[in-house]
Amino acid sequence: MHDPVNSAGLLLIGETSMSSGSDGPVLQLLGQYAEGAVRVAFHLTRDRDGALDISQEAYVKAMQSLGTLRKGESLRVWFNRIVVNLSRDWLRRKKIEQRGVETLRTRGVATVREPEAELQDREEAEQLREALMQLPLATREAVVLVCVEGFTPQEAAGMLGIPDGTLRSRLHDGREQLRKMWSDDE
Amino acid sequence: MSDSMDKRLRELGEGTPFPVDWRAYEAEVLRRLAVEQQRERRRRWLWAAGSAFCGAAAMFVLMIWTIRTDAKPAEGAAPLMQVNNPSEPPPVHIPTPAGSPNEPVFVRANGKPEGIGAPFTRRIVRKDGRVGEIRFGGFSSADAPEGEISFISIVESGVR
Repeated sequence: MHDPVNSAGLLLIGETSMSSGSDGPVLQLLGQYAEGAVRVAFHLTRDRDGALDISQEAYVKAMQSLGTLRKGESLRVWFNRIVVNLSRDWLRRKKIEQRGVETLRTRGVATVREPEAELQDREEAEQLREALMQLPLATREAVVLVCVEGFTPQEAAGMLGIPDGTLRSRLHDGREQLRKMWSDDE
Repeated sequence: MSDSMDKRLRELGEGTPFPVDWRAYEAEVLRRLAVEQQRERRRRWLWAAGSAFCGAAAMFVLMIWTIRTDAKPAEGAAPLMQVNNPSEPPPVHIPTPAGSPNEPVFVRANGKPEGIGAPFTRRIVRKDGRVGEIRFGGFSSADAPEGEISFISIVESGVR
């Protein structure tokens, strides 16, 4: 039976009936970025349904605007730029930035009995996510793309449409603020 | 502390922050793509239909405009209506017989020849505006039942 998820747990969109068209190979390539898209959208919006919606919409946008992909440009960077822009639009619509943090616990994510160490890891990760959400959107974008997703500062600056120096400055501010919040929490 | 924070941040970049049903996710992406494709097709169809309609409308307007412009007399041009001298007999319009304009042609009259036996000349105005004369030279045979006539010539005398 066809399994849409490969061994690394990544989606292989396009191996279905839709892939018979010319879009199939592109979708398959983009499919490997599904996890990252969900993650970026979630870290920027802090909304589970929003993150799924944004990342799914990113595929539609990507297929519509394939022409904007420049020669030699990384597909991952290009796709994540779409995700970032959609997340910004989503935040603008929902205006949740001012509303503050909505924790995963209230969204009903399953909590299972876990070993204590793992539970502590989860809690720490959760605290960090909440701390991330306290950052201003521009700073958060820089931290999420570079520190969480592992993009280079140049790639992140390109995705956000800002100069390298501005990104590095935002990154520095973000890390400082996070460090402060992190030490407060600890 | 900083290292630990960086490590934690990097860990946030692994997997997804919540469980995702990838099958449902993929199905939803494909559904949205299908909807978008359909919308795009409809959009293209509407554009094509709109363009065709606009093109046809433009052609129609252009045609009407051309016809009206052609029909309008030029500034200072002679009036379209023939103004006759009351003393002259009214000009008649006749279909132009085939042949050279100034050569006599034989025509067959449909009526009886009574009353118009004598030769005569009459001014005519063609439908295209040219003026001429029709000269009737008499009947070829006065007894002919259908009034066979001859020596009709149409003489061009220029444009009005």
